[in-house]
Amino acid sequence: MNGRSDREWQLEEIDLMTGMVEEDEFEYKDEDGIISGKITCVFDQEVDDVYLVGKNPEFEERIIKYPPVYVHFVLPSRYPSEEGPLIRIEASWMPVKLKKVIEDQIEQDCISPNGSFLLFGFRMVVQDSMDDFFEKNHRFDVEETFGVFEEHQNPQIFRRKIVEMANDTDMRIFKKKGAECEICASYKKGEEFVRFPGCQHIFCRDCFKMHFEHKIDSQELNGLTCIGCRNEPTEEFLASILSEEYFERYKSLQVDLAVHKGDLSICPRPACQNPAKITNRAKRLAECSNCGMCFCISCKRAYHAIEPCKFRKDEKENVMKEWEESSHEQRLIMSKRYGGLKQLQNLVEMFQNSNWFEENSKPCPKCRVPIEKIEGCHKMHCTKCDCYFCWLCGKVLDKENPYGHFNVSGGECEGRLFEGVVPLEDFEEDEEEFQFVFDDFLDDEDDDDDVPVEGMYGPDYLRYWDEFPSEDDSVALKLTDGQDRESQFV
Amino acid sequence: MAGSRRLQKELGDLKSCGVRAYENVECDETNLLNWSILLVPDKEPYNKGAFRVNIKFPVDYPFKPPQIIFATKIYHPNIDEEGKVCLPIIAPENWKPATRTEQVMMALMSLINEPEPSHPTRAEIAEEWVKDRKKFNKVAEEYTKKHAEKRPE
Repeated sequence: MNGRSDREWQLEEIDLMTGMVEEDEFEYKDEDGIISGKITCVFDQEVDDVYLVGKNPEFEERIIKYPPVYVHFVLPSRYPSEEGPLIRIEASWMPVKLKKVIEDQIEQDCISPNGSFLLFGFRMVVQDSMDDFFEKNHRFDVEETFGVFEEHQNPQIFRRKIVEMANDTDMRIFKKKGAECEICASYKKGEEFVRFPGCQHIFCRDCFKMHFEHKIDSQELNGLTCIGCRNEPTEEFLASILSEEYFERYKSLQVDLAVHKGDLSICPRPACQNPAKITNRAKRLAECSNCGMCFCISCKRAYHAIEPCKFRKDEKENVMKEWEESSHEQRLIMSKRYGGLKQLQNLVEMFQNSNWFEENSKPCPKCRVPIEKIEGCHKMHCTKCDCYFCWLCGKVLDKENPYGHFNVSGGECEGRLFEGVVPLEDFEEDEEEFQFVFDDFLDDEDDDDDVPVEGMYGPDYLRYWDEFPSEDDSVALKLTDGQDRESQFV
Repeated sequence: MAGSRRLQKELGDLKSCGVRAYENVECDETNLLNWSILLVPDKEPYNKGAFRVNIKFPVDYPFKPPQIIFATKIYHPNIDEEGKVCLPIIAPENWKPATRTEQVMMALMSLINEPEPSHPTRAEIAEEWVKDRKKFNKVAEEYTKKHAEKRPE
């Protein structure tokens, strides 16, 4: 062997094979000094006039291309000096007779290795043997040939296999050769093409990428289909085509869409923000699978069961804005996010009420309950937490002497206890006592038609009031049910 | 530009498509995105003249559809006074990047020959087309003779 050891020869053959054939057509392993492997033979040539036939005349399948043939080999340690390679042909479609022919032919070639590389020759042997065989056997009976093998009992399954294998050959050949992409009209190598799963449309990877990116840019998720038809891609397919950045954008668009349609709700925990599943729409309950948070889908706060929702000002504004700008259909979609149309209507009504509160009330500085001042002086009393405060500056006042605040010399509110107070006509009619008090203390800076009343008491009137500390005129408003306001005179 | 090779190919294909009605295509060599096609309808009442349409391709063609504007005035229920035409095949929601300009032209020719009065851009012409075909044909033919270009030999 020209001074080379068997091992050296074997390695050289492997080297040569690796360099000569496509990467996916040759594989080998080198274990304990024994080299074994598999050669995949695919043939581009079209086959003329060869049919698979069966007893059933309907079973007739033309073979257009040879399905792949796999040659398994083992190189014994004394190959090629003393031993030939061990060969096994794998091709389930192939008539046993033909397999035998090929194996015999290879064996014959290997009996006396004459310095030529055998592995590389296998392909040729396979092709020549097949051509010879089919020239003599244009039609071969599948059932007769394969009758002994169970998997071939059913001609339908066998046919399907043949077609699949022929497609496999086609794809392998397509990958090696090139083609023109129908979309960009560029001639590209086969490996640059991608087959859309399902419909099997083939376009180049770049065009798929641009098509998807374009749909993501224009936020048209329902246009995110195959280029050639309306088939929707699998997530795996999108991930294999799109850059990480675009795939992330796709995912977040998808979440946005699901959130907009009310199928998902974003977890309100700032550190989480995971799209959470709505577990009970009627109860407005969502549970975050990421952090375990259970929250209300309407107000996005921790789940509060039958307690009413609490909203921040901007949240309210957003809901009101969306409600006002939506058509009836859009409101129906919107309502899914708030546990149904009825719930949303209640919410909107509540907001309309609370807007009114905001414009007409001030929160108690201690307990934040909104308080509407209907009439009376600026010393307020909160009936909820029993504190006194100044309507003008919002300071909590001394419980023992709430009026002292209006007498602090040089203080912000000095002498302003009744500043700007106007009587309410309702009360003028219904409550005569009040009318008296208010008409008397009216500080008439307004130009309205109220009868101007001259101040008949100086600051010293306050001592009378001290005797009736419960007669301050505050109204505590309960937001709880959102609809009825409760006014309480204390 | 990604679509230039495709446009070049389509331009060549259209010029050699052998369909007289729309094979007359011109394009400024410096700008592949604007084409001008002389439509030569064979059927009455438009067969007395030729109609020039401008096709404007977007920079991201073929991922976005082209636009078609009639430069020649035409009396047709689906083409308005400004030359805008409502052609479903190039509507953004229907557009497929695999659709070729030749297919678009085929669709346009069939719309010209067979108006769709169900969604007209000029309701009064559509009504006339439905109710008084004779009158429609007469007016459209006169309109064609007056405004359309000369048919190529």
